[in-house]
Amino acid sequence: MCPLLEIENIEKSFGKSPVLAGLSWSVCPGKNVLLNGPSGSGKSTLLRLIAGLDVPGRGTIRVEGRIASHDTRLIIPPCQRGIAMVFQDLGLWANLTARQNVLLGLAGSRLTRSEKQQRAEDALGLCQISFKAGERCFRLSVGEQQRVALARAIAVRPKLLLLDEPFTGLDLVLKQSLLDPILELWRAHDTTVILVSHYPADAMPLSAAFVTLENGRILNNS
Amino acid sequence: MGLALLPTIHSIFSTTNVGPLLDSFHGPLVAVLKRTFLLLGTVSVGALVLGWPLGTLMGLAQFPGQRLFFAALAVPMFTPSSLWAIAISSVRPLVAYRHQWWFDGFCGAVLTGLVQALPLVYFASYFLSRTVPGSRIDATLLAAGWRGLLWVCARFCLPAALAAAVLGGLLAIADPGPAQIMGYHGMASEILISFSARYNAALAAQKAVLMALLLLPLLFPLAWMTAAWSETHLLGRDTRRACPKLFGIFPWAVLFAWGALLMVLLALPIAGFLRPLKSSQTPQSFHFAWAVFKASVPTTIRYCLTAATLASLLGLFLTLITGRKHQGRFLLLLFCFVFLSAPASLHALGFAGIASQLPDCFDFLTRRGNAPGIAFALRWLPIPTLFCLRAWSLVPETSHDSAVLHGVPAVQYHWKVTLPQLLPFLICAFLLVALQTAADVSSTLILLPPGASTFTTRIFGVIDSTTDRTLSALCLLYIGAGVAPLGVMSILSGLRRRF
Repeated sequence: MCPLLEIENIEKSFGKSPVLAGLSWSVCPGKNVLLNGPSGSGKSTLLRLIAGLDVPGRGTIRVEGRIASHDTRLIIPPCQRGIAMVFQDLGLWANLTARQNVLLGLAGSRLTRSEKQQRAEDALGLCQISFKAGERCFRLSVGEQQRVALARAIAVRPKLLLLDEPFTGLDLVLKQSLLDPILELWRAHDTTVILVSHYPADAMPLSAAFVTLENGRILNNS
Repeated sequence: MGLALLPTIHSIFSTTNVGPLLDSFHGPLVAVLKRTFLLLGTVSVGALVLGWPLGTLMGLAQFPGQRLFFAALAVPMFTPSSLWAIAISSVRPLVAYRHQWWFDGFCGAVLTGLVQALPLVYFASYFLSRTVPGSRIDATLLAAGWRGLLWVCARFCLPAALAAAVLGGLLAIADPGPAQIMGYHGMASEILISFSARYNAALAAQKAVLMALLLLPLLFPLAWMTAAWSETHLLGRDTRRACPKLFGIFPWAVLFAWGALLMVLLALPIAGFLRPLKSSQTPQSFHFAWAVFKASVPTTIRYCLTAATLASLLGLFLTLITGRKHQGRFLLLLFCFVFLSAPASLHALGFAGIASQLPDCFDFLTRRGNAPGIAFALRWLPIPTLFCLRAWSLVPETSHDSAVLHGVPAVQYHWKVTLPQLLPFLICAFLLVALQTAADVSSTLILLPPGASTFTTRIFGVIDSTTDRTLSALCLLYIGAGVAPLGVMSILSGLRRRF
């Protein structure tokens, strides 16, 4: 089977300090991954490179067999890679309501207005945040904001969902309520999830493979 | 940026027509320069010493009537310094003859400069101490108590306070009005005399260039340092806001003593304004002032609106194209600080020079009614640019990343997300530019088309030929007209917070 994501020998450095050094890795469709490693090991940088928000210094990234980034060139723009991401600080548009956040997140898709609205309502419902759909995001609690960020990401029905420590600071009940829509998306739409987390236990509900990143390289891939 | 710098560059090149620069560096001019630099230094140091600790303390405290205190402090910032010079010189009859020198000559000019420079330093320190992250405040309080906290915050605010103090000093020496009223002539008077009395724009430009060159060794390193500091601290990643954290009686006592000192300093000119009004002919004076106001207000508003709109749009545009690139932001900040500190007359003379050389088809831009507005828009461009840069830095980077990842069209994203977040800052910058344009005298006199006059230039024009009472009425009317938009803005911001 063609891997969903292929990373070949990528290098990335900020100034003189290398963050990723000759990293190679591949992810098959439907095979979720939990990515962990010490702080500063390059996890977030790797996700940004995969999403196309940054370009590697060297190496190639392929998405569904197509070259997405090669050396310092961005070949496929982020919005055409079929990737969604929940950022560590969520990256919500704070002045918009939860619904507007999800709807604006669909602005780049080729859906009709009514389809977008339906998608947004479905995603908000799946993340159990419909009751706060009309609230501006800066008025929501952290847990509610995390649900909105997740709803925005899953509304586009991505092939690959990148989650950069989305469960930080959440209790077990809240964490489970966020995992449910991710599992639903995985089952219903065959979305592959790459989850960055410091807790190995987070891999279990997603049946995720366990990958450790250290000093810019993959240490183990089990 | 090039457009804004063009008039200044033109001024510099036009000076070659009047002979070598050093030829004008003769005895009387050296004395004028000495006076100018003495005033600059005294006003800057005084404003820093008084404004920096108070602003820092205020940033850590919250007390009833704070908004009123701020409003009182903001008034001198949008009022021409000549108005304050009139007020301070009016205090003279209130004191014994042997003490009148406090309100005349060098002392009077320093007091006038301080009234304007102090609020600048105060607000710079205040807003900076409010941006110290809450977690850092908590940690310092735990480790070193309030004394340590004050020291940390004051040190954090120092670069901005220093830059504001120097800017205040520069504004004090840029206006020929106080010099004329106090009898302490500086370079601004020299430049204006060369232009208006000797009709020699090139000579005026040469004097302005000379002053700029003498200031450059001081200002460029300061602007560089301020730009580098602002890029790191002011436009850096925003963390949890500081909460007011002043404990104990002593800091409160210091705060109120300092605040009282400042209010006394501001109360002096107010007393000067009110003293001549104790007369039965005061209503006639206000009637005259109202007539002058009505006659000049359309022109004033036209210039203010043109300048504020154009400057805000250009500032927004510059910010959007610079984005978060460190080098771009640093260069833009450096441009803002250097350009703000350059002599205002250099820009105005350059603009007038370009206007006289351009073909007729450019008259609608450079000679007709909008010309002063356009010149002021370019002159005050750094204000909205600085505001927009700060506002832009408050929008998280991941917010832009999300938009890129979801393929949100740029126009839609800026319209729905970025602009609403920049709008409060843009409105502030708009008002500041409008008020600064209304308050300017020296550049307006150079740029005004024949027959036109603003309210400020009308006041400036009658300083020598009218009674103290009428002058007081004119000044109070000006302050009242300036307070109105600030009051509206304050009410609107209160409503916005409530909803």
